[in-house]
Amino acid sequence: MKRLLAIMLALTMLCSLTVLAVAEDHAPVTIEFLCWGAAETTTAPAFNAMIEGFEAKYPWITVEVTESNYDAVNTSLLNRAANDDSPDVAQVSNQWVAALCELDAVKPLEELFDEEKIADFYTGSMEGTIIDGKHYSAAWIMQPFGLYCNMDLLAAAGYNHVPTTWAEYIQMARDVAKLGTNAEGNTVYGICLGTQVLANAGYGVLPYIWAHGADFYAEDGSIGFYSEGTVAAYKELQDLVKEGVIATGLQVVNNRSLFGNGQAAFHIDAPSQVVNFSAVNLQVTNIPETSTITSDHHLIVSANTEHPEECALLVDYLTGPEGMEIYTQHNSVICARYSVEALPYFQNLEGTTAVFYKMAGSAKSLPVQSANFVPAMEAIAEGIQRLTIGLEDADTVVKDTAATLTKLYSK
Amino acid sequence: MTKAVINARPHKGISEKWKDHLFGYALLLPTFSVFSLVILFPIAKSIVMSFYNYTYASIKKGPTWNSFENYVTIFEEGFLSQLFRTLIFTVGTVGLELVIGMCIALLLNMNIRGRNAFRSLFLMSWTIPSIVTALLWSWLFNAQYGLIDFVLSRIGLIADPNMQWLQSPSLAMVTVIIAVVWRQTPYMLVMILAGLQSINQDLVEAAAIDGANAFQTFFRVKLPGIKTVLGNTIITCVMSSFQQFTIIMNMTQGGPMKMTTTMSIATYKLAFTSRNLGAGAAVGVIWMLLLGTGVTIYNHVSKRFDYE
Repeated sequence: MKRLLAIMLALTMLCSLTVLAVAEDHAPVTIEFLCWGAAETTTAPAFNAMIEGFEAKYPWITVEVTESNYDAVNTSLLNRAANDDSPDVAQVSNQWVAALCELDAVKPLEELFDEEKIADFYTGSMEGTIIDGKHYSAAWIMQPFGLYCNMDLLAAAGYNHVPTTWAEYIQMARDVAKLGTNAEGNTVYGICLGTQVLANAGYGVLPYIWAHGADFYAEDGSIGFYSEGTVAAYKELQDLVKEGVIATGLQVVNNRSLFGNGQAAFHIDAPSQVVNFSAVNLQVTNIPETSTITSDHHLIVSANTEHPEECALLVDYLTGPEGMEIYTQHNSVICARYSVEALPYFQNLEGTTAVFYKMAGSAKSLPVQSANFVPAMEAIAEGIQRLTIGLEDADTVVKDTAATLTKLYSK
Repeated sequence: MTKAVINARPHKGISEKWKDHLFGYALLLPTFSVFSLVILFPIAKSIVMSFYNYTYASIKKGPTWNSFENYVTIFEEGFLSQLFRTLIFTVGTVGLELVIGMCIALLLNMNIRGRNAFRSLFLMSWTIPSIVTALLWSWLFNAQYGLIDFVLSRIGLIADPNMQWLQSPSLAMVTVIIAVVWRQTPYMLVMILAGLQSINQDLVEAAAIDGANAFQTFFRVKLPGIKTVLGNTIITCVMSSFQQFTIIMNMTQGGPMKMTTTMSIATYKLAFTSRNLGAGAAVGVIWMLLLGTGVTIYNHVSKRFDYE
């Protein structure tokens, strides 16, 4: 017994010495990680566990987490970047990266990772933050938008399946709107569309444009918004409004209530919104015959960090298999790296998460390459208000919007 | 005797009068320092910023002088229509607040049963934060499940049970004004009530003895009696309406089709959405000049009336 104890003690000492030896190779380093995930009750346990896991793996690195809410992180990053005081690593929306690059606040991934590692991140999610040929953020969590379908309303309109073509989608929406009211006597609509002047209402229109063969960019990279396809999409939207298929003047959050209340057949939204639709007989599918949009969470490293190697280790850990294994134990999230797909969690996905996960691979990045992305999306939303509330001519609205977008993206 | 000797002594150094002056300035110094730091310096900084290309990016690289370009930009972005909408909003809110506040104050100034309870009740909406007011009225006016549409359609006042208040270019401003008036009227009410209670009751009684009716008493005795309070309260409310942001932003975001884009909304969008701090400052400077001119004219006119 004594011998066994002695052996165990010796082994413990050996292990401790090994860990100490590894730690002694590196001077202790503290890096700051600014994020909103640690501040939100739903994701905080996952974030804490991931940071603990990282610090256990790299004992010489201490991660100082600065937590804030989503909007405050954006404001804080801009203000701190303007004062050369950016946090070493930050959780960001991919929509913010261009503005931070404008302030020279972000270190390109090419200075942190080799080509092979950069290629491991999902191409669709990474495309939006390639600026002047360099990747400025690492994709972490993808949020591809899916088409939520109310199967009860579709059944009432004579359909027992989700739409598979764009024409069928529009026809099904029209047929649902013709029902007039639902079982509770509330007015029903075919499609939810954000028509308030907010950025999410602007990019919510993009799948409609893509479905008509048009795009935000032209092939040469300039703004290609004014095209026959966009005008056709706008005319279609205006017709749907006139027919009462789309409820106008609603914010995206109002549309969530409308769909969750069983008053709309279709609603395009992110995977995280599924919890709001528990009262609906729900099915989620791809937006037919077009790409879906994706608004993703990325990680950036400060251009001024004194510890780029440690920052790279943190980014790699959080986005890679180890971090994602912890994350998926707490939350239902979609990864953005090919090497993470091998995790059992992603191999055994079921239900709506499986559908969204499939979409992630083919999702199209938002046009976030400009620091003026948000004003640009608001300009699109303003155009949609002119189209759907002012009932102005589609061609004029698209032409005016394209002129504004060109002006904004040329800055 | 001693006093005479002291007074006869020739002046050396600072006189007593100047000592008093200096002591007064010394007492003012802390207040003036804080005032300069939080009021004068930001104003001066804003004026300077309005003549520079001042964006987040340029803060690091150093803002560049761009003369009146920011002012040209804001006029190109529809400054005059924003000013016009701000004036409509201000006249609408302050006008309604004045009429409603005056009526309720006159009622509460009467010797009615439960007067204190009513006073507390009418003050309640003032205690509610603006953001809550905005969300509350957004839900009430919601076209799909709003209580107002439901009630009005049930009693037959509107035909469409999904009437779009906040989405209609012609109704959105009215809707926002209603929400702001609901939130702000108690302030007007409290100030007018305080004014009414400070009127010498002998004057009111004398008017009654002379045979003045309620209408005459109000216009000849009470209104002149609260003139100063009323003027200052209106000025405060006008400035508050010019600055109103939270309720408008959260109810309409300045829409539909910019119909509720007042100067505060435009400034926010220029400075923080478009990140053009210079243009945002330019709106602020014109805004300050307008309000400053308005208040100066008011003070001048009210002084003249006071003398009369």
